[in-house]
Formats: sequence, structure tokens, C-alpha cells
Amino acid sequence: MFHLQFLLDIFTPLNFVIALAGVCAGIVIGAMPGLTATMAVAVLVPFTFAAPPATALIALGAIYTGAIYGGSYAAILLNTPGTPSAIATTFDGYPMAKKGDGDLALTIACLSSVVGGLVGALCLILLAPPLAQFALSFGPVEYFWMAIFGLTLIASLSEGNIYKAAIGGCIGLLLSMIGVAEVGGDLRFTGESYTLLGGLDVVSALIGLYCIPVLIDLVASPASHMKISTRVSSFRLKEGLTKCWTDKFNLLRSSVIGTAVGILPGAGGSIASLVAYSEARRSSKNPENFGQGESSGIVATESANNATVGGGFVPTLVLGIPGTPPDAVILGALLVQGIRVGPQLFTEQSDVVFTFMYGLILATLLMLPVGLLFGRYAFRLLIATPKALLVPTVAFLTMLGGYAVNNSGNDVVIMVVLGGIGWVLARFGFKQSPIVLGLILGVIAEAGFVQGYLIGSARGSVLAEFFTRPISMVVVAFILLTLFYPIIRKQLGKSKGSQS
Amino acid sequence: MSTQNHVYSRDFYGLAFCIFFLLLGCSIWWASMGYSELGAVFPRTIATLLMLLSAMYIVRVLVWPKATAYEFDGSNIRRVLLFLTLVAWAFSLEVLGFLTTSIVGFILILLIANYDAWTLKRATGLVLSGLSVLIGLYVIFKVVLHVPLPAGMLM
Repeated sequence: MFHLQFLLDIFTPLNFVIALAGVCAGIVIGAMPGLTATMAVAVLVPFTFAAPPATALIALGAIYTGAIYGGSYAAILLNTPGTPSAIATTFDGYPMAKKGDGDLALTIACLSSVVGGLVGALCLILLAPPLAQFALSFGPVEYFWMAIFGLTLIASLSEGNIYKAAIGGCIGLLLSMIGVAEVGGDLRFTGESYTLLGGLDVVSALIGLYCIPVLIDLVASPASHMKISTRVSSFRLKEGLTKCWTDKFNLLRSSVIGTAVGILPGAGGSIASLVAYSEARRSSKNPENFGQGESSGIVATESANNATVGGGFVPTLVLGIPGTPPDAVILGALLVQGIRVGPQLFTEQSDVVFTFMYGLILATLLMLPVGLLFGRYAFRLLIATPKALLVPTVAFLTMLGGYAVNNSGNDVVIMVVLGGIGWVLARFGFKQSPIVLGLILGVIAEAGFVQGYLIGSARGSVLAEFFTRPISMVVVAFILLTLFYPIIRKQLGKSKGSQS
Repeated sequence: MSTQNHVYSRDFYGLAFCIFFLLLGCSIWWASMGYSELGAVFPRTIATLLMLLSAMYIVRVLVWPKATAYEFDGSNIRRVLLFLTLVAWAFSLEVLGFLTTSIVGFILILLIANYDAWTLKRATGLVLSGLSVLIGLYVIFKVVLHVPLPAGMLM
């Protein structure tokens, strides 16, 4: 009865309309390259100040979840992750779109995002306090190993040349070190230029590395920018549902991974989707199809990144520690609304917090019709737009997005230069994805490594710090499994073959 | 427009890049000499890994050569023109103004990306629809989202 009342509370006309508007606004902002979920939430936060606390929270949750899903549009249709969470969606989404299955990819992304979002929100409702305690047991060493786990994905992105992929990963890691070192404060690789003091902005770098090479290649030939499927007359919902049902274990596993990673403060949707993608590829019967337009890749990444929304709210609401950057903005909005986060929130202001949690479920469910509708028209619009118009429009969006991240022209310059370098490197076999992986995970890996090293030194054994903590060992086991699973599977296949 | 696919008896381009990365790794090691112990540990580790991987690939190309194909298809002139336009756009947007540089950049890229014959109807349609999208997005960012897009000298 207690929870039923909260469930009924969310169905007031105001809450419903606010959730719908929030999802729509989030999807539109998230779909634009360069505009992150953080920005979507930050920009729209002032509009919620006049609303009642529960309604305001529902709006913010809806914007956030919509923006994370919206990132998949640009990832699938333009090979540009709309938000960093959608990086791994480009791996299979864009190849699917190029083959003429962009509408199917968008439908699968929508369905997976809804399932992931629901799993994350349900975990938030049912398990918030114990999960928050779990998040506290993650130290720098665990973050370091998590980042290394993400980097093992380089092996699956190697496209036949592991050396070049690993070198690309190293280049990305080195790029992540530009600027002031997080631990130690050294000025590294800035070339005494003020432009590089703050380091490379990840979002600008992502747009540059992914989008600029696509633009450069689009103008090089008169061929159509996208194949047109003969089946664009519908949402391809049935096909999408069948794919998701066939991939149900991947869907659930990725949603759980997304929720678990979302709970870890600072990890975020990009790591969640990369880890889920890596696991999906490892456990797939057709790992060689990944990166070529395999729908399981989209299922994994989109369910994982949307599951981080619910997961991220766990430490935010229970401990007051934001799980992801948008959570930090929402935490600020909560304080403005007079809500004190912490374990007491679930007893003292349970009406607000549970209405919000159920509101998150409502917003996630609303994402299904809205997402399918938006996806259908986004794909049709992209196909109908002449290439001569599409290229300058996307170029304008990249400039706009690159600038809007930090309101800095320097970021735009860095974005274009990185785009040029990315195109040259990709042309000669050093693909962008390993570079991007290194760039994103480098900061987390270095901070975790150096902090773990300092703690280990103070305790008397660095090795013990890195290799004896239980959670670390579980992550290390997964790293080894991911790296050696292809060999193990080959050996198992051989022994089975010889027996038969 | 040229369409060429080149197959090389060994990966000469990969070799050249790896020599460059080997030198890059050395220069990173050299640069890290001036950093504190904590600031230097990670760059040195990654630089060592980069040099090691580059050296391994060089040895592989020299000792066990493998035929490698590179695609050099499409118009490189258009590619270079597009990239130069983007660079000029990026460098001038704060000086001249975001809207002005965007309109000029947009029209230049429209010209570079177009392969069809220009007719008055087509040109008018493309420019008008393009400019309406551009100005519409500019207004959304500037007015609704309050992104302080630079006005520069012109606007």
C-alpha cells in the first residue's frame, strides 16, 4: 500500500506532462553532438525551481534519462557519440546505418535503453542503501583495474591488427595526460601553450576524432551518404523486439553492469557501456561480427548506459556523493528544493524520494513511444537530406557542440586538429576507437594507479595493495578472462573436435 | 576524382608511422625527466609500452612482411579543402563572430560537398534551407540555452 500510493502520485497530469516534456527535451539535446546529458540537465535545471520538489525531480530524471538515450541518435546516424556514454554505440550502430539498417539500430537502441533504464530504476527503488555501501568499498585500486578492464576492449577493436590497435590505445592514453597532472600537479606535454593547460576536453576530442573524419570522407565522393533500406516504412519494432528477445541475457547482463558501474562515483556511462560491450563480445557466439554492425553491440551499450541513470542516483541520494556528473547537477537542484540527501531521506522525505523513483520509471517507459517516433523521423530526415546540405549542417553542429562544451574557441581548434590527425591515422590502420578508449580511461587509470601506489607505499607494500583486495581480484579475473577467453575457447573447440 | 586501391608487399606506411611513434616515445621519456616522480611514472610506462609495440611492429614488418592494402579512393582535393575550411572556421570564430564565420563556412562546405549541377532553383533551395537550419540552431543555443556564442568583430 505504501508504495502503491507513491506509484499513483506520479500519474497526476502535471507529473505526466513534465516527464514527457523532460524526456523529449533530453532526447533532443542528447542527440546533438557535443551536448552532453550534464549540459541538458544543467541548462534545464532553472525551469524546475518553481515546481513542487517531486515534480522537479521527475523532470530532472526524465531529462537525464532522455539525454543518455538521445546520444545514440548521432552515434548511429552520424558516427558521432551525442554524449560520451554513446561511444561504444558507434562501433556497431554506424555500420548498421551504413548498411541501411539505421532504423532498426535506432529501434534496438530504444528498446535496450528502456530495459536498461528500468533495471537501473528498479535497483534504485529496491536496493539503494545496501548498494551505496558497496560503492564505498571501491578504492583507487579498483578504479584502476576497472579502467584497465575497459582498455582490454582494445583487443576486440583491433580489426585484425592488434599492434596498431594497442599503439592507438597508447596514443589515447598519452593524449589524456596533456595538461596539469591530477596527482603531483606537473604541467605535462603542453608545449608551454596556455591552450593545453586544462588538457583535452573529452567531448570535443570525441567529436573531432569521430565526426571530422566522417565529414572528410563524405565530401570525397558523390555516392549517397547512407544506403536506403527497403523496409523504412515502419519502426521495424517486431524485428527489434525479436533481436532483443534473442539477446535477453546480454540485455539483462549489460543492464546489471550499467547499474553496478553507475553506482561507482565518477565511473559513468562511458565506462559502463564499454565494459558491457566487452562482455557482450566475449560471450557472443559470433565475436567477429562485433564492429561490423552486430545488433548485440547496441543492445549491450545502450542498456548499460541507461542503467547508469538509476545506478548513479544510489550514491547521490543515499550518501550525497554524485555517481555521475549529471547527478552532481541534480544534487545541487535537490539542495535548492530543500531536500537533504542521506540515509534519512528515505524515511523523513520518503514521499518525495519514492515519487521521484517511480517518476524515473514513468520517464523510462515514456522513452519507448517518444524514442521510437523520434528515431523513425530522425532516420528518414537523414536519408532525405541531400549530402550537399547534410555535410555543412553536421559541420555547423560540430562547431556549435565543440564550442558549447566549455564556451571555448580553443576546444574547437583542438577538435578540428584532432579530427585531421584521427583521419590520417585511421587511413593507415590506426583506428579512432582505441585512441578514444585510451583518452577516456587514461585519466581514471592514472589517478587510480598513482593513488593506489601512494596508499600501498604508505602501508608498506604496493603489490599487496594492487593484488590482494577482493574486489580488485574479481576485476583482474575478468580482465584475464576477457584477454584469454578467445584462446581458451579455441582450445576447447579443438578438444571437442578431436573427441568427436 | 580518382579511385585507387594500392596493395603493398609490406606495410610501408605502418613502418613509417611506427618509426615516428618510436621517436615520440623517446621524446616523451626525455620530457618526463623534468616531472616529479609521481607525475612521470604514468607517461614513462605508456611511452615504454608505445616504444615496445612500435619496435615489435617494425620487426614484424621487416622480418615477416605481409601484403597490406590501402584505399586511396575519392577526391583528395575536396578533402583538403574541407579540412582547411574547418581549420579557418575554428580559428576565426572568436575573432570574426560565430554567426558570420558559420554562414561563410556553411556556404563554402556546401560548395565543396556538392557534386550535382548547379541550377538557380537548386542553389536557392540548398542555401535557404541550410541558412534557416543554421540561424534556427544559432537562436536556440544563443537565446534559449544561453550559450555565449562569440560575437567577435562582425557578429
